[in-house]
Amino acid sequence: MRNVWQFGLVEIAQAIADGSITSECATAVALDRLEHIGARLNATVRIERETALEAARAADHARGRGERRGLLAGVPLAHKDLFYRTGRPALCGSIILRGFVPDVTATVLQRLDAAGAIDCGTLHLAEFAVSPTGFNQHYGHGRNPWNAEYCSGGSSSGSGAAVAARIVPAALGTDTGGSIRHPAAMCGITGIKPTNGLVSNHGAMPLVPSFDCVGPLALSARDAARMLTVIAGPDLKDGATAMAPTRNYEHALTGDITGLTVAVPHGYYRDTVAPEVAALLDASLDALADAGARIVKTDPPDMNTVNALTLLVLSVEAATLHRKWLTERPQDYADQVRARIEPGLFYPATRYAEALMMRGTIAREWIAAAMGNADLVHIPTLPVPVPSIEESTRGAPAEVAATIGRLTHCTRAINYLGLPSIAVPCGFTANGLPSSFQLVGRPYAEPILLRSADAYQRRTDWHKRLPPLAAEAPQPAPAV
Amino acid sequence: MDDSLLLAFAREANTVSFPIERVTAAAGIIRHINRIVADAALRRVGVTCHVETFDSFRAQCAAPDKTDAE
Repeated sequence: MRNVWQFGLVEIAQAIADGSITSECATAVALDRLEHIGARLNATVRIERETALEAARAADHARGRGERRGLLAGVPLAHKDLFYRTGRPALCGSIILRGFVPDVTATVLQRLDAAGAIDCGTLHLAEFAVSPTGFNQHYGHGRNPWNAEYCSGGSSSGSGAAVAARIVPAALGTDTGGSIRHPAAMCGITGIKPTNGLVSNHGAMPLVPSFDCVGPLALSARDAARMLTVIAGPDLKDGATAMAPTRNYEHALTGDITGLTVAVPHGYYRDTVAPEVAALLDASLDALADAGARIVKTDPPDMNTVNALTLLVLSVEAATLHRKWLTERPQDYADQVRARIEPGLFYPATRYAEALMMRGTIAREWIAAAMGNADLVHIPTLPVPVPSIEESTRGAPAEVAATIGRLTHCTRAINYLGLPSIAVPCGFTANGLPSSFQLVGRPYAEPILLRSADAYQRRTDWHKRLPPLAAEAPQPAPAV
Repeated sequence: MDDSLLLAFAREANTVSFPIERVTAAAGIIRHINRIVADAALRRVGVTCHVETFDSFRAQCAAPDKTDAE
């Protein structure tokens, strides 16, 4: 007998659809967990109790009337506090945006609404989505459900913690240099950064428009596929979205990856990996091979150049968007955040233009070297164990910068390359915190990534592990 | 234009009042990144007269993949 909070996204959608549980019950449970467990993890920003329960009751009535239902009808969700909804304040993890009330609703929220999802509230993030750890000097750091003294990962810190702690079955995040994949990896869940342009960014706080991607964090590849099916697709309000056809990503989850080739680039992607993480990565490759994939070794191209291009575009675009506030309210940024944005003000415009003009060529070269003729690439998400909050915030600035740099070693350049990537949990390191690998594909290879991750998860149970904190909390929910 | 002049110009152009020590602290990484990108651009764009943006690359990848189950 399991409680509804233990259900994954697809499972809870099915339970509501077949009448095993009402949306009102599922939503009430999520709201209570947001209030109690979310507070313990510093994952919750805002709870929309009344509107959520009202929407849930409406969903139950609609089901009772036999109305046509969406893929997420009645399912309670909550999202990173940078997706705008008309009339609802959005802090974006900052104090600068206190009092900001958007007059637009993000396209992804509109699509989730149309699919019947219940919006229960908003979740913690790093200040202006600038941090791979969940660092937020103003509102407290994100905390990891596996051990609250450790980093949750960021910048979608609340999304990672809330899903891992079974507060909500899925949540939206954004990824500019790893901000979906870091919290997914550190909290032991699945997160997908789609191909740039697959999902609309309209109504999501911009940080680096050339790199920003909206995507889901969920308990499994199947749940992530359901979310992606709902949110992906062209959007006239975001000119950068690709005119790619919409599709149902769950159809790709056949469980069969026979004939797929997985490339494992060494050198840059393996040289700095901690031994215990390397052992988990190797075990995940064995599982993929058992599932029918062929594993081949490759070598990545010169990553110094790719990383320089990435850092330049990141800092220039972020500095452009923040220039007004950097001028008028520099004291309202945490030093760590301001120090990461400011250098973007000092690059020549020609360097920035060159970095963008080379993007397609560099992406093609990276794929040729790291992937070759393979279907996807297997690399670490985090090359090191999850750090404690103490390790990521204390010490000399150079030490902190080095810790943060290690965390983004394998994620950041993927955003410059514009490629899709899925982070998949693959075990635990000696400190008891999760570890993860990434599968990276060519543009629009999301079906292959999801199918491979799903095939792996059919043969392993890392994604089903429950943080003790999630089970310890008192549960008022009825068993179903 | 040498690096220090370039940084001073950028500082002025952006009209942001930074303490000079902050600019100096960031100058090393800015110079480093600037040179790598400049060298890469000279090797590629400057000699090939061809620009492949991410959008054009992405468009070429839009065809359904043979391994897609749909």
